[in-house]
Amino acid sequence: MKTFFKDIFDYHHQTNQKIIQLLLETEEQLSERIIYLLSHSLNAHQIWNARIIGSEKVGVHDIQQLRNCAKMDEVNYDTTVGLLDHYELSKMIKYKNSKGEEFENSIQQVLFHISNHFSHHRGQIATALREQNIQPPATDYIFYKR
Amino acid sequence: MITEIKRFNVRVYGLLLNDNREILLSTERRGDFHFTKFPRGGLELGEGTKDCLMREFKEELGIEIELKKHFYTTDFFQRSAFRNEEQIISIYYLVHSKQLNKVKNGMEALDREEGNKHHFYWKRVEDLEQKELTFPIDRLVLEKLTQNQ
Repeated sequence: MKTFFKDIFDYHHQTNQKIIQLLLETEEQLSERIIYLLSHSLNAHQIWNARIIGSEKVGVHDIQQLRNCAKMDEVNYDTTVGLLDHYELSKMIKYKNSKGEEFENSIQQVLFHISNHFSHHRGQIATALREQNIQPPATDYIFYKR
Repeated sequence: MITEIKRFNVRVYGLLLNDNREILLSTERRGDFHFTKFPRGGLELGEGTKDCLMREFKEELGIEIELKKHFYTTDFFQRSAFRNEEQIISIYYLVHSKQLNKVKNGMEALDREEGNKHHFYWKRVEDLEQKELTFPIDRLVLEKLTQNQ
């Protein structure tokens, strides 16, 4: 299962890097919403990693500088791969949401959530890019595996 | 829900000091995930604690060590930070090496895995703060080391 998650996060990392590269090339045409969606998905990954390892968190709605996003995604990816080597997936993580309510989920559930969250927001980014007449790249998992 | 403990995880630590009262520390980093600890090995089935520690120093630093004396073994219950079902038993030895000149400050672990930054460095015991160590048992051992001076 750990190998499975490493593959899934490798896919998200490569796909995010592809999207970020395109955004850097088309920066002048981008809407604020696109930068928000990208920032939010990277913030969420950083926050979930931090909940697992107990490190400092960014704000979930922070706007990231586009030029910093590739690096942020790389650090997030490295962190997830690093924690996969040490933690067991069934370990329960206690955390508070932004409203201060307490919850508990397993690392496996958290990793699956991060993965879905990326796909969901990349879909929104793709739609927003088409609205600006920019062709989004193919980001399906199965393309990455071909 | 509290998970039932099903296994022991035995870790064997080597406290290696040089002539300047500096102690060897191991630091690993991958992304934001990092920890600093005393050098250690995980005890394998069919292995003695002494052989475990000698193997670890050989694999990671390429040096031969001698175990001088037992320093401390955990006498309280500690659940693993990484695995719910494991109880940690940590055994610390004071160790010595005739090959200290091979342990350069900031040297990289010889068996490091790709993508993982794993280094060793020396720090004076007096200058080492508990918060620099990631794991609670290491912090307790630092306190004992300081008291022992």
